[in-house]
Amino acid sequence: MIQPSRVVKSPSAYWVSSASVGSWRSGELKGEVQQHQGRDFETEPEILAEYFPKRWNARRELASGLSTLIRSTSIALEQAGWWKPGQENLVEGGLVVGTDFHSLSVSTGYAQELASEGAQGLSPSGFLFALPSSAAAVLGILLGLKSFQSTLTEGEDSGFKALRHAIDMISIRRVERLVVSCFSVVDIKNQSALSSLNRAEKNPQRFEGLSLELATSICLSQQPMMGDSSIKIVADSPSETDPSETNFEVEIPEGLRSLAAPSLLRVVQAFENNIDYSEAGFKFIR
Amino acid sequence: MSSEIPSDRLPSKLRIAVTGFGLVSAAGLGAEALWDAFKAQRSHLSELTQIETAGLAMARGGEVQRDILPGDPQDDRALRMALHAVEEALDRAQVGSKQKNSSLRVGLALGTALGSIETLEDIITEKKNSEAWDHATPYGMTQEVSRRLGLQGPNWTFSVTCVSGLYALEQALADLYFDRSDAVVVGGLDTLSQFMQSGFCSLRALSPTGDLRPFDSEHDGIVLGEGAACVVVEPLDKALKRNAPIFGILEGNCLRSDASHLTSPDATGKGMAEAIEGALAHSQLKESDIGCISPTATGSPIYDKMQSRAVIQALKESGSTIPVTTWEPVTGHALASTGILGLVHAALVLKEKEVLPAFGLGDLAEGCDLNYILNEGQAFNGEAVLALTVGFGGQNGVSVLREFREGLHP
Repeated sequence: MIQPSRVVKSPSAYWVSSASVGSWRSGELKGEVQQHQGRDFETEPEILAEYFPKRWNARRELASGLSTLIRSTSIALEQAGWWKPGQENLVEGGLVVGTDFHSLSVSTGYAQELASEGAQGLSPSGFLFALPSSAAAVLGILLGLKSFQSTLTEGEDSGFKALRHAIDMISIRRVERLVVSCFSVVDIKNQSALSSLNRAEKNPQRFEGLSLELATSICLSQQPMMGDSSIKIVADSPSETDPSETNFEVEIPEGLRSLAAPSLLRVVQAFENNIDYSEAGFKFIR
Repeated sequence: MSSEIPSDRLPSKLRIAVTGFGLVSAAGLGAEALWDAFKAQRSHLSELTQIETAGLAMARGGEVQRDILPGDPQDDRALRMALHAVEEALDRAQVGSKQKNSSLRVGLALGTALGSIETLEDIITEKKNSEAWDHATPYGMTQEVSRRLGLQGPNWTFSVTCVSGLYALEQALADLYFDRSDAVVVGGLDTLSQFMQSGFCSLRALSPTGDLRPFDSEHDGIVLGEGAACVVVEPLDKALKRNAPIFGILEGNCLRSDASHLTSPDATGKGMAEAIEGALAHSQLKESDIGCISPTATGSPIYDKMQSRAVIQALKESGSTIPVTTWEPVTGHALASTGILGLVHAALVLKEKEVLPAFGLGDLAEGCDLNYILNEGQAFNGEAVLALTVGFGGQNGVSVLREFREGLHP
């Protein structure tokens, strides 16, 4: 988990301020996972009810993969000072989620169950979480983010596009502040689908043997926030260069670096480390 | 190109014109097919014949008949619907579908709940091979439509249940503000598949009778439809400069989430009321300027009552007098196309200057006490249409389309 805890302010009204980042990793990166209090939302949904009082039924299980997203988002919000664990008040602001292959895992599972078992007795949550927007809906419920709740499903481009969309929505004053959360899931459940997808893209072996569960979140605000450093993040037109080739200090298998959450993480690392990232279409103005 | 907003292009100063619209629905190809069926009060809901219905608790809906859908039958149905609706919208906007020969930069922003989910089903059941994955993802479909029609502006894919198209619209507006595109085709689409129908059955959200009776005392749930709806949006000054047809001015678009439940809305209507107030504030119109309200008419009692409450909360006394109509019993609730379909309907109301009677409505349900137009249509009397869209996850979207009058809009 990276904890830049950089709180920045913006000198002009509609510039976007970057606030903080949280990420949560598992799978191959398990050695680096820092589990809060050693407990997991997915296996112990009652923890959700403690973290988000009055927002979640402790008996309701969380869909697989969402724990990572919730951790990441809540860490970012906490670092930005917009939320703290156990808070009952709703968080003011909006939410943009960029998702690549999580819903593909769920929808593939649902379609397989439908094909083998028939239409009777199917799990409602199997269908609900096949909808890419259900992840954002869960975050919205837990945190009370009401202003704006958008989900982009752009495959591997979801990370950059979610950030661009978020910057645009703040810039055109649709929302004053929001959290952008991107999550990537490559696992046994969607390996087959991903291999097919990559076969269609003439690169069938790309994800073989790899797994990743990563979420990255960043808080953006139209208005200056507390703190003494300032960064403006500007979305420019992307160039033809593939930014996943840039050698950053990202400990993610090369074949997975361009997925949604790693992409957003790389943008964050770029501004944390004063690295020019204009090739990916983002400029940082300090 | 930087995202910094030029001072003369701040959101409040950029007027957005709707210059085209296109539609594929159970009523047929083209927006006029919906209007004609609505005017004739003719429902296109029937027993489902194009999907496997064994084991489904309810198997009625509004299907787009395969034999009327143009394009290569080998292509995914969602792709064919999208292609037709986008082309119709571009033709109506006099942009033309082959952008490679045009100087206009046209973007594409689509919204879908599940995209080409039929293709996923076909791959799982081995009816199609893995090559089909090319267009099976929602973003793959958007990219394919852009590629085939030569649309060279930015493309985007959103998935926010039934309000997906309105989120796509927000991004389209940003692309126009920042001059990344000269015009953007904004659409929503979903198909009726065994996946979708069984999912709604599992949620027990569908009408057990199979009758779509929104706001009626016998409303008992959703009947699904399918289709694709598109509008072309562009800055008014550019539209005027190229003598484009103008079907309305998009004066407001506001999105709010209830953040309370995965499938049900906040029954108080607070979120929707805020969306109505937000959209009206963007538009700077008065309640009395609204000549028609077009709610999402799913037939779900909780959604029907919530929208009725929200209209009264937001519009006060005017809320109970503005004419309200519902077209959804013609086609079924067409999922992610709903938000943009609301705008297409609004454009048709402004074009035909008529508010058609709410379809499928007899005795009003308790708590549904707006001015629903019953039996006979009436002349449109106002300046703008307010379209309300609801979606799972407590999503609320409201857009305002205003009549275009020469000289009125700076």
